Amino acid sequence: MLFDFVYGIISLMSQLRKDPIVGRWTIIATERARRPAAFVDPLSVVTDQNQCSYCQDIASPGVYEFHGVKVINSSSPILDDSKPFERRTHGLYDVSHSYGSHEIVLEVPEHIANMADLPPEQIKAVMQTYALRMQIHRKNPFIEYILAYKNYGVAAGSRNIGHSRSQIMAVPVLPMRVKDKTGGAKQYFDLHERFLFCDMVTQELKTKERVVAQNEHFVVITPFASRFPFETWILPKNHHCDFADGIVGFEDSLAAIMKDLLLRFKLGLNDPAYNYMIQSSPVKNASSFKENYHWHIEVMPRLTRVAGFERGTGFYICPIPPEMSAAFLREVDVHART
Amino acid sequence: MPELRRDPVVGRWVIIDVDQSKGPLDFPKDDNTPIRQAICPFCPGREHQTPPEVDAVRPPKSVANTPGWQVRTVPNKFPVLISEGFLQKEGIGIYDEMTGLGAHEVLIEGPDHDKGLTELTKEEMQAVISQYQGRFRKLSQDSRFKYVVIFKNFGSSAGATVEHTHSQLIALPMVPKTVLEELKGAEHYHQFRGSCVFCDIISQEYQDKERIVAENSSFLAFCPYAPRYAFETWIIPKGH
Repeated sequence: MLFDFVYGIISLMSQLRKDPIVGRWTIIATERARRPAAFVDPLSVVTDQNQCSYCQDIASPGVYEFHGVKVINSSSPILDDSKPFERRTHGLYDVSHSYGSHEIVLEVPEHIANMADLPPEQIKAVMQTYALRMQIHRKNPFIEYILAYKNYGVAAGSRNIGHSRSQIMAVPVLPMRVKDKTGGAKQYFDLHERFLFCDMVTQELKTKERVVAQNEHFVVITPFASRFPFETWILPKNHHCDFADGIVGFEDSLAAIMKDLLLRFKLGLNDPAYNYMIQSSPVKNASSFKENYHWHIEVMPRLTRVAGFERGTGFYICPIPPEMSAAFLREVDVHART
Repeated sequence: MPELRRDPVVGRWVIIDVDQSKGPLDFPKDDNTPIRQAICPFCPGREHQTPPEVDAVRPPKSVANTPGWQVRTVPNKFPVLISEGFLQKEGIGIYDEMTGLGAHEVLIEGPDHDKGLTELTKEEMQAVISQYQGRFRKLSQDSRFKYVVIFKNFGSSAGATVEHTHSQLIALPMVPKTVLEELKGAEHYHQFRGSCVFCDIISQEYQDKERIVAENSSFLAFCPYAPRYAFETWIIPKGH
């Protein structure tokens, strides 16, 4: 959760802080100044095209442009790479200024809200833009991880809900979830000398009960231990740890499966809010992740709320079996509308 | 019976609600409207609408499942885990599954429908805490359970579906991931520094002073140095 805070009139510099117990990093985003009392005001939501700042931004020079996709720096960046990355300690705590970059990807010049409604060629250009930006950011020796993600709809954390866009964050520390994933995959490889994600693809294609859709290069599943109703993962059938390098030659297939899945959400679940997160391997020491990691995309509609039990334990309650979610999504007639 | 399933990548367990699962189309319509007083099953006089109580704070000689209680604990009518039976584990290819064994209770914190935790008197609050303690001890004795968590959801955006002030308790057949991470982190810190990370946090917070919210002789409330949420606060006992 990204969070905004200004203490009195003294605007502190944004920071990265590490939880001393579990080692989780937090961005303290002071630059997006909001007084404590402002949290009680409802957030204004922009849907109207006339008020859409992205419709204006698309005409201004950005940091990158590719087939109608435009990358701009966030107007309220949470991360900043103008000063070199430097870790400090504060007593037992670890802190640094919030080094990194925060970019907005405007996916289409037109004021279209949902990626599901973009033509496959445009979705392909968005995916290629992610890859190209990742290739640039990973040259920065301070950067440890790059995440491309999307918040669609108010419940998914978006305030401008009229113009399709996503975000790219490049951070100088390894997020805890990434460590968990690479660690788990490594443990499996050490034990079995087989790739965990490849075994998962094989098993899912064999049992079929959690397969939502597939094409030549990708399969969409509802994971066996889903946290959320209709949680889905897009898994490439080819083993590759890195998104930017791994999609080469498969861009059309990826765009097709992404559109297919987002249409199933839109038509089957009444246009829900959703997030997707591209899960690629850490950018440093990439060769050590070659065997263990397998890039993929987590896509999840936001239909339920995370409550005290989940927050207190990291243990989730999924109110519908993933087999039932998959069967439902399989039945959605996506071709009727495309 | 609900199922417990383990994510093969990160090792996180989830509860899959197999039996009473909602149909796929129930989710978009689920508006989480809290249950109003007129039909509230937690109000006195409607004790029969909940499963029979397992514990309560009530005056001597007052009869179970009748009005007069101060705090009342009942099994959840729609439990996410079932307390009968034994744990059965099964591997399915790369996946691991267990029977959804556990306990799921509701602690009704007071008889008054409109009185929230902030409006309880000190004595009423003490009754709630002592009920927490009692249930915690009781369920910890059951050898099938490895972890007990007591939590509260207040307001619909925090996940509450019943207005009447209440907390919940879930007993689990394994230690959950977040707790394992905390234990591991604290152990690592202890090996490295030879002291308790939580005690050191308290000392540091006293030194810095800027994140302290409130305190009394035994407890400290503060905003953690690396919070996840705006206004996140921790209450920590000063005694180890």
